[in-house]
Amino acid sequence: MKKLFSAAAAFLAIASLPAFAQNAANDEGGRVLGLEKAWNHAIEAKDTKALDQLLAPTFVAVEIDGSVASKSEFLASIKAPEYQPSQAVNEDMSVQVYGNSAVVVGIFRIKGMEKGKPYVHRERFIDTWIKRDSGWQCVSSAATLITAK
Amino acid sequence: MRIECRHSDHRKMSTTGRLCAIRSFSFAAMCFIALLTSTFAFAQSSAKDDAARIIALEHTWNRAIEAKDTKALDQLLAPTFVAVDTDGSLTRKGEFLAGIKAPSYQPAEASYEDIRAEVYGDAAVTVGIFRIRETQKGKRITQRQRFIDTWIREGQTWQCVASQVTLIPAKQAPG
Repeated sequence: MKKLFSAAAAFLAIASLPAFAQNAANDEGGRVLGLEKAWNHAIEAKDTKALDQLLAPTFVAVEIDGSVASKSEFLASIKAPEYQPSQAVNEDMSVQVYGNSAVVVGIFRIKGMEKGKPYVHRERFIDTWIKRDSGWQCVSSAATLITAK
Repeated sequence: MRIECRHSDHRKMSTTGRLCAIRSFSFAAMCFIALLTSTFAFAQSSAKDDAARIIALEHTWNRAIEAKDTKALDQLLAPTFVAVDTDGSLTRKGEFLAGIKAPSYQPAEASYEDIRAEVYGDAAVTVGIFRIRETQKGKRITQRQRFIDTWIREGQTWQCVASQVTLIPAKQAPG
């Protein structure tokens, strides 16, 4: 009887492992999505200090015009006086966690003024996040203007 | 290598013992620094190897596109693969492979003008400029696209999980 109980307990423990891993991935996924929202708030507030925390030193961004920007160039563009975002939201987001990495896909909707002209953009993005001792940081972000109907 | 410190006279313990302790400490510190340096060097060379491996896979991807070899592409792309095209549309692996297979898609040459990889343990990100010469629906086009690909290692195998391309306007100099 004892043996049977031990075998059943071992089976349950093994069977619950994937569920545990799934829950952990869900938790991490939720955390990363939370950071994406924090990123939007930081953009709205032009809060480069908050962005500095979210982005890895090796961060690289591809803008909608195909240009590439390093972390410092990206932060400088946010800080620029002519960049005046009024609203930054994600319309749709999904996250896939791969151990200590996560990939977020979504639509970023940005409203604001640039060089005196109002604009609204809908951009498809893919962000890649890496988990470090200090937490999750974004290492790459690509944006493509949505022109497809 | 082993260091032995023997003490027969307890009165001498204070001086000899301290010397021995300092020697042992110095040796341990040296070992620690050597270990740390070699670990760092190993990690660096391993990351370099992985980066080279991933860039080679990127070139394999181009050859597979040119040959419309969806079997080879199937090996390179993870089941969860997602791609964002130049018009902002999102495709999953199945749709992406179907797009390559489509008779209307006739790629002539796929190459990289520039590519670099950054490795983060079991993940890697490649950034570069992809140049594609193709015929689409009877029209010949050449495009330069900035791309970011994300690769994940599962066991010994690297597979691409995400790829995004953004069109570089013809006038823009490579940045």
